Amino acid sequence: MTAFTLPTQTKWAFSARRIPRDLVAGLDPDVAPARAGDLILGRVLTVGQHGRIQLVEGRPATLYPGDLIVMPCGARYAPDQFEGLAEIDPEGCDMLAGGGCLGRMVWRHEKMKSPTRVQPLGRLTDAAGRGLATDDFGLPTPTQVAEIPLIVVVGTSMNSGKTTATVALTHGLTRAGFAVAALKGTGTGSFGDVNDYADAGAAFVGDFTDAGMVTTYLEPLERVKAGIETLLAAAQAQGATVAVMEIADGIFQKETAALLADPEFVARMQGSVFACGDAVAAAGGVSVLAGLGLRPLCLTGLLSCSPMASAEAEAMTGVTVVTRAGLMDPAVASGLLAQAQGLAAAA
Amino acid sequence: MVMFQHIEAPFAAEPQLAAQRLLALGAGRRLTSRHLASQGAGPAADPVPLVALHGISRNARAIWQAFGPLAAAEGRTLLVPRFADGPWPRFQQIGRVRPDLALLDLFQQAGLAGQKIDLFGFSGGAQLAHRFAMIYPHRVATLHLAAPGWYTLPDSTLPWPQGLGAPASRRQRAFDAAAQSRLQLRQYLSLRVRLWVGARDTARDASLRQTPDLDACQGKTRLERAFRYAEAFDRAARTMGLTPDIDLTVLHGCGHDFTECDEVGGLAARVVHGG
Repeated sequence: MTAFTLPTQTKWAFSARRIPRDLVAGLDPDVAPARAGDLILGRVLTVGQHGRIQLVEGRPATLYPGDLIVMPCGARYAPDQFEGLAEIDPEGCDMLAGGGCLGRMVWRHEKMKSPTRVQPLGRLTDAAGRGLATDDFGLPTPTQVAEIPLIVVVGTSMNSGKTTATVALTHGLTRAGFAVAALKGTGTGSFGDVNDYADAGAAFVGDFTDAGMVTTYLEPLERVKAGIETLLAAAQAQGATVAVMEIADGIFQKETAALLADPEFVARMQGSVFACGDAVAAAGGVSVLAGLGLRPLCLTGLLSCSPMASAEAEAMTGVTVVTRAGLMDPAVASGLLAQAQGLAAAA
Repeated sequence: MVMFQHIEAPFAAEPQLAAQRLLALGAGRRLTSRHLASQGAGPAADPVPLVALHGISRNARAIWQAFGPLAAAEGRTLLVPRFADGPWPRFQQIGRVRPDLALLDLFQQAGLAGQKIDLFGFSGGAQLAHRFAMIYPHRVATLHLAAPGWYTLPDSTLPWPQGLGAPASRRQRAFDAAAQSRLQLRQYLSLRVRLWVGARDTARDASLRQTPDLDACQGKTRLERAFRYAEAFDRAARTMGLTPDIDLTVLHGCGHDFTECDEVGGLAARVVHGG
């Protein structure tokens, strides 16, 4: 470890926002042992798919070759973009997400450019030489289990409408007078979702990065669940009366599938909302969820933009389709919550 | 949302009190309201805000004058909206037109976003009050219904708006209030409900909805309909395994007139003091 002062122009990523910048006091050039969460200082070699970095200040910043950046090492699962692992090659690593995630790309979607390449310069440490890592800066581990009702938003895949549904339901419940915690339980750290939740009027906003994870990909199920409990406890402590939580990617994704198959997690939630793109996806999703003992409160997402597709989906599944406007309606949102609580009580 | 203040003439009995005016918006329609902000100086540590709704005569001033001094003495926030006839020709029902959205926005403007309220309505205002409470029971502490002409019964075998079944008219389905009310029925039937009606409120006047179905189901007068509603509420709650908290008070010497119900029957004071 060598004494080190971080240059002021260094671009610090959103996913590392819980780590105070002024703790940086050293740089360990040995990056090969880096694991998920370790804070990496790097220099942009070439700008590829991600031409911008989401800054801790909440705005995107354009990247240029030669820029100094700070991002955590992390894995990523994004079927529309990249799959990558939490590995730092001393010769060069990949920027896997705009919110801040450095690792090694494994696969990319055909429409994606090559990832932005970064020369790792070292792992950042504090004055005592301890490596700075996101897991040391999460919200405190709760001492009590939160009891606020929880509605989970799941979907077929990326871009099926989960964030839109989460935001709309948050807004509708807020208008109805609930103090809503809008949470992202799994996924990749990004300020887009968090900002959208806040804009909807959420009384509390949090994601897994607040529980110390850069992403949840390849994290053990118990850690993901503990992170969710941490968020729920923090939300309740700050006065939230209900939580709406988005679970990233599709229901076949590894961590999402594990969560939905976990009896403890399923018992914790009062209901689910399923976002999908068309009637066939709706039928498939409802069928898969039924196999897990789950029946969504409603269907939504891109499907709901089409009255005809919605009619097909309702006929095939028996589950009501609710549009974005519907979720934003305080009466409809309150009804969904009452439905969820009624079903949970009956169970 | 826009909020503005306009000082109205103070109450005669409480010259230091004056009304703020609030403006709420619901689905693009304006709703103004008199607003008395809680002074926190009453006997209760955390007084429940009171919202009082006028009837089809839209005489919000009479409601304000009756409830204002009492609410002020209790340190309670008071909201008395006025549904102007232009934007709200039929404010009693929730369907194609959404007075519920305006009320929710009004609560937000008054700083009551997450609070429960005591909700009072007289005549047409009572119609709106109970339909609002059926969709948003979590917002209501005590529901006071004074002499509504008719009710939406907690009965899914009757079509909306007489009951909670599917509406007979497709036109009414733009917003399915019946479906939302059915989802909230258990919570609604768990509410504390106080019914008020004048002993002389037996006239079959032009403002009373009269159809053979309604007369047969709910009775021919407001007095009779109040009793029928109390029975229907009680029966529906017990069917769901709940212990209903509903009470009906007949105001002796009173007809279908808010001022008379207040001056002769002491209605406002009884509502403010909990029913």
